Amino acid sequence: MISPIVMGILLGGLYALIAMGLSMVFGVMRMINLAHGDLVILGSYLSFALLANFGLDPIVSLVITVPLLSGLGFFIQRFLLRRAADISDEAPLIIAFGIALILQNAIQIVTDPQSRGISTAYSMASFSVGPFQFPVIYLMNFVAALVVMALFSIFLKKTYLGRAIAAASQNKKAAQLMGINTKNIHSAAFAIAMISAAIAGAFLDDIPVPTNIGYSIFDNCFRCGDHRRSGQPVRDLSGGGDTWSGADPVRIFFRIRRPDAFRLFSHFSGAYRET
Amino acid sequence: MAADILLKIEEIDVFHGSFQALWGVSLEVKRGEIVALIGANTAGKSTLLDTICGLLHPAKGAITFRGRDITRSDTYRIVDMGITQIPEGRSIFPEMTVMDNLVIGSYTPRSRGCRKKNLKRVFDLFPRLEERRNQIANTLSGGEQQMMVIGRGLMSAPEMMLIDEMSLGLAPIIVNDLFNILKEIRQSGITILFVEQNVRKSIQEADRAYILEKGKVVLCGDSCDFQEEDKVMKAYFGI
Repeated sequence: MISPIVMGILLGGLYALIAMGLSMVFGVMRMINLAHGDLVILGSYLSFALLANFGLDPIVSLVITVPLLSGLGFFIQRFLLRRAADISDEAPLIIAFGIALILQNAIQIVTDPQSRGISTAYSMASFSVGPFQFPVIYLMNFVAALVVMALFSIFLKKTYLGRAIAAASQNKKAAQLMGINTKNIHSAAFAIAMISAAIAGAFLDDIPVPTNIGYSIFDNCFRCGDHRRSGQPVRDLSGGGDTWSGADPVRIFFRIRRPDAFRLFSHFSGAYRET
Repeated sequence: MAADILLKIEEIDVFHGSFQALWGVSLEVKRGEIVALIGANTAGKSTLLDTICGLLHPAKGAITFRGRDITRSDTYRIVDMGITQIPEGRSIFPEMTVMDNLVIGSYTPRSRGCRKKNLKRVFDLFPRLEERRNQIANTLSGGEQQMMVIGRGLMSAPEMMLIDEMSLGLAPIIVNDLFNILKEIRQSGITILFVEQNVRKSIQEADRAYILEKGKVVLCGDSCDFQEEDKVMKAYFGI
């Protein structure tokens, strides 16, 4: 009994990391990034490909996947979502949904629909606490998530760009009046959210992931984060104050699928049909 | 003395969607002046300030600041040129500390270099903010929040400060304090254009005043001319 609880908590760290990227985009742009989960999977398969073809360890491959994915994020925001946002509020959602579908299918075409995990030196290792045994990778995932979230916290509090992202999410008009170019801040926030997605993707690699899991990752993480404001990694970690589905941390850590999430999903898919 | 004109607005029309909020409004502010913009609700005062800052753009007419055309400029460029707006309703960054709120005020490239100097100046003007600098902004009282927003504006090292309904929802004693601080700010060389609903107070504090009604300037002149109150009343209330 203890073992699954601990493993759930450890895995929850990774989910919180993904949720942080989601809520950073939502907080600044007021847009639910439906493609976030699939972008994480893209990051995951990129590091998988780098391991399979060049023997790069997923952690080492971050040197390549982080710039690649954040560049892609910048491109998506700057050239797709920003234009869509000028059309209507729903248009960026549809673009994001389209990106999700394209990514999901592209990955299946390039690889194949089999789920796959990778084997590194440490993927089979385990450690024991008292009578219990835990996989080392779960602990690595958790520690990595905590470290990345701590770094993001510092970034948001201590740099001008970070402060500008937080400011733009808390009060857009005041942020503009401070001389912040909020349009560029949107691109920056999206690119930075993609950094967290690339890192989460690389650490997902040690867990077998099917190509089409992106949406359910999005779905789970959507309920994790605090989507009212960017720049609250601690709240994302605790899953506190979720205005959308009232998720509480215990449930997130145990990854219980809640029916209201499905209702939420069908609400959005219903919105697509209407528009 | 045309060289002395800091801000010049010529015949601007501004729309909110299909609703016309300003009709051929012209206004001038000279360097070093303190000018009041008076009017009832929905007269277009805030619209005018937002248009100066580039949050809205006029359909017709022109705005020049320091002799440069800013009619179509983006807000972030205008702020970097030295215009700061103190928005109405204590527009704070609620979840940041007082210090972070102030620091974000010096976001523009021009003001980053003199952040320390400006911070000292703000703390000299508002010692209360220094005491509370590590407090989260939305736990401050209304008056303190307004002080913080004014301080945040000063952090951008402005040449001109636009103030939107500073006194809204504040106790008269605090409003008096804030007006005294405006005098100090003006003495330090910052030109001020402020929006108020309180006619008497505005006329007392300002060198000149403009009265807006339904998006049009109905009266303007030196504030001593406004002392004959019936004239103002007539413009203001239409009686």
